[in-house]
Formats: sequence, structure tokens, C-alpha cells
Amino acid sequence: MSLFSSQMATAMLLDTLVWPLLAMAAAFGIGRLAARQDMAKRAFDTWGELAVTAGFVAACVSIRRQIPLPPVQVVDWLPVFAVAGWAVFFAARTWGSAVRIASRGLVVLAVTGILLAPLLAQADPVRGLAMVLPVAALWFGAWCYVIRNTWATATGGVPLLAAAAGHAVVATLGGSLLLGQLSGALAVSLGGWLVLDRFVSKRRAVRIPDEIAVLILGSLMLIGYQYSETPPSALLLLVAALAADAPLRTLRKRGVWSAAPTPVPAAIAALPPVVLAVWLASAGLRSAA
Amino acid sequence: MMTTIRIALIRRLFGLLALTAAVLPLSVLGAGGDSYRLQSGSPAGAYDIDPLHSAVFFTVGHLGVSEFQGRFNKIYGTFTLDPSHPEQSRIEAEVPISSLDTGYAPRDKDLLGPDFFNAKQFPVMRFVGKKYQPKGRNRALLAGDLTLHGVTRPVTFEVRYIGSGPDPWGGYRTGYTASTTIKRSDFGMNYMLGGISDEVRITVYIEGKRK
Repeated sequence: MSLFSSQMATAMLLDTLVWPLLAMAAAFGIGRLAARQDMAKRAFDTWGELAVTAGFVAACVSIRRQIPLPPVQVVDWLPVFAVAGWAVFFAARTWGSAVRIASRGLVVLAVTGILLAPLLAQADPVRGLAMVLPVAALWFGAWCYVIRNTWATATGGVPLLAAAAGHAVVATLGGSLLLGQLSGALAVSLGGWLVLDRFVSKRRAVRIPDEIAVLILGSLMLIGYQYSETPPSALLLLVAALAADAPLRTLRKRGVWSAAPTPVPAAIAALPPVVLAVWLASAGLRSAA
Repeated sequence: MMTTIRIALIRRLFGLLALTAAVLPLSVLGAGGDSYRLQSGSPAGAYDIDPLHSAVFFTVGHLGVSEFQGRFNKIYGTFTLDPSHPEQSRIEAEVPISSLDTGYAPRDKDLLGPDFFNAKQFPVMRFVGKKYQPKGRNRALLAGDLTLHGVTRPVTFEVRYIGSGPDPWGGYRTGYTASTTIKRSDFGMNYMLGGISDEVRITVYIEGKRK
């Protein structure tokens, strides 16, 4: 019996894979047309972030059929964060690095506060702070690390793509098919961008739009941790996967590894923590049954 | 001759007594044993919902091939009923979403997560009844506001009155069943509408203990 004989399965595949890919590709095409005369870094960054945002928002609309405004439940905030985040990062391109880093911190605090607000309303202030601050600190630190290393290692931010794909599986096993679909759509948008940028733009040093990716993935992981009880050990392994290309950076510094772009080895390096995270999540599912 | 008549009368009397002695225990056994009867006392009064004898059931369509039922094991609240002035009847009931029970823990975890009930953000389901309208013998319509998943919508329950009367512990109880059909998408629960029906049939079994 084919998977596609199920109307529901076909719809889920379309929502998770096809619609976000098409929306991202459309934005990519528009960006190439707009920047045809100027393939400068700034144009690339702008359209990369916008393309991934378009892919993710398309997935949100197709999966949930509606985006309540104002948002009612926490998942309703995700497309709002994606669009607002893109606007902030677009503006931040002209800011100095210190201001960009500070804006990143403010975004993390704001998003964490909004997503945890329903739980904070049920908790006392001390417990609320204990809930928000460690998460925000970890998220901010991971974000700064990813941005710095994405440029430093020329691995294209592939570990981020691996973490997003891993979270799609971990979230599903952890009890939320919705978060799994949204994470999968993010991974598809990121991967699609990488492929188009490499083979259509024929850019040798490809890089996924990391700012918007970290914002969306971090939001999904936070919702999964607090509202779906995704195993925290699995989530921490996915965060650790973001640093999977650190050994490659060390080898490159010592001259052992060439200066050529290394997205494939970075993807391979990110596999062990991602696979381990998936195994932990599936072990949790088996024990719950 | 008088002695013969007396003896006959005495024999008949003893026979009657013996028959009564034989039948009486049986009738007592029959009265206290397996004859369940609805009590027909007055339902008027203010009541607390007895959570140990009340529950909420829901039925949804599954994959277009079957109907599946789950329940919430806890319901709390109060209600007031005045049959002579039904418009003054009131009910407020609250159901902890965490009391969800579908008989399979992984499915309960999925349902309580952000895909469906999102119990951590919306821990309770609440109904406030505003209008009680009798519709014949033992039937009524109860209109009110249902708050579920952070959304409040008007719903109307079809109510069937069961009975009222004293309980063995000195209290007084009354019982009802109420049912309605809602669309979960009206309450923002619109995930996987292709696999789990939008229409949800809710049936509530209530037993109240008079205050």
C-alpha cells in the first residue's frame, strides 16, 4: 500500500515539503532578479533570510490553515516571530556588530518571554525568572556561536540544517507531530536554499541564512521543551550539534584541512549528536508506551 | 363441637402465620436486593458536582473509518436548579484538561501537547450555563458559554434529568446527562482535521450533592 494512497499522508507531505520549498524557491527567484546587477553580500543576506521566512510561513499557513491574529496559543506566534525577526535582521545589517549582538539578545529575551508567558502567569516571579533566564542565556550563547562559526568555517551553517532536521524527528517522537512538521519545513527551506544557492547562483561558498534559522529553530525547541515535554537531553544534543564543525575549524587552523568549503564533512560531523538525540527521543517514546 | 371448630380455627391461624413467616423474609429480601429504581424526589436546590460520580466523554471520528471515545476523569463545579423558575437555574463547571484519559499514555501525551489541547497553556475547560429551558418531561436545553483552548463560544446542551433523592449517608443527590456537538476548529484546535474529525460529540454525566 503506497503512502500516497492516504489522503492525509499526502497532505502532510505537501504541507511539510512541497509548499515551503515552493515558497522559498519563489522568494529565491525574486531575489536573484532583484539582485541580478549586484551580487553583493548584502543582497544575498537579505534574500536568503526572506526566502527561508517565506518557506516557513508558507508551512505554517498550509499546516494550520489559519494564523490567528492576535495569536492565541504559543504556536500561533511562530510566523509572527519569523516575519518580525526578518525585519529586525534586515535593519540590523547596517548596524555595528555590538548593536547587532545586543539586538539578538533582546530578540531572545522577548521571544522567550512571549512563549513562556502562559507558564509564567501560573508561576511565582522567582520560579518564572528561573524558567526564563537559563533558557535565554543558552539560546543567546548558541546563537552568537553559530553566527560566528558560520562565517569562520565556511561550512555553510550545515550543522544548523542538521539540527533542524533532527528536531523534526525528535519533536515527533517526543509527542508533537505539529512541531515535527514545522521543524521539517524549516529544514526543507534551509536545505533548498543551500542547493539553489550552490547550483543556481553557482556560489562556491554557500551559507544558509543563519539568523532567521536560529530564531525559528530556537522557538520550536523552546515550545517543544516546555509544552510538549520533548526530552531535554535530546534537545541539548541538538544544540551541541551546532558546534559539530568545531573540530573542522581546528583542523583548518592547523593547516590539516584545506580552505575549500566543507559543508559535507560538517554535515557528517553533526550526524552523531543528531542520531543520538533521535535515539533518546525514541527510547522515551518506548518507555512511555 | 365447639372444640372442633376452635381447633380448626387455630390450625388456620397457625397456617396463616406460617405462610406469613415464610413469605415476609422473601419480600424483605426482594425489597432490599436487586431492584434498582430511579428516585423521584425534587431536584430543586443548590448542588456541588460530585467529581467521583461525574465525568465528561468525547467522541471523534478517526481516519474516516471509526469513532473513538476518550474521557476527562474530573469535573468540578456547582449548579442551582429551581423547577418552578427554571430561568434562574445556573451552572458553573470546570474540567482539568490534565484529567484526559484515552486509555493509552502516549496518545494522552500527544493530545495534551501543543498539537491539540495544549494543556500547559490552557489547563482547564470551563462551562457557564446561562439559560435552562425545560422541553417536556425530564428533558431540557441548557445554553451557556464554553471556554476551551483559550476561546469562548456559546454552546447548547441537550439535558436529560435522571432522578433525585436521598443517599445512604444522609445527603441528597440529583443526576443529569447532557450532550452537545462542537467543532474543535471553532476553538482553535484545527490540527490534523483530515485525520480526526472537526465535529466532537461531548457527553457529560453529572451527579450533584445538595449543599
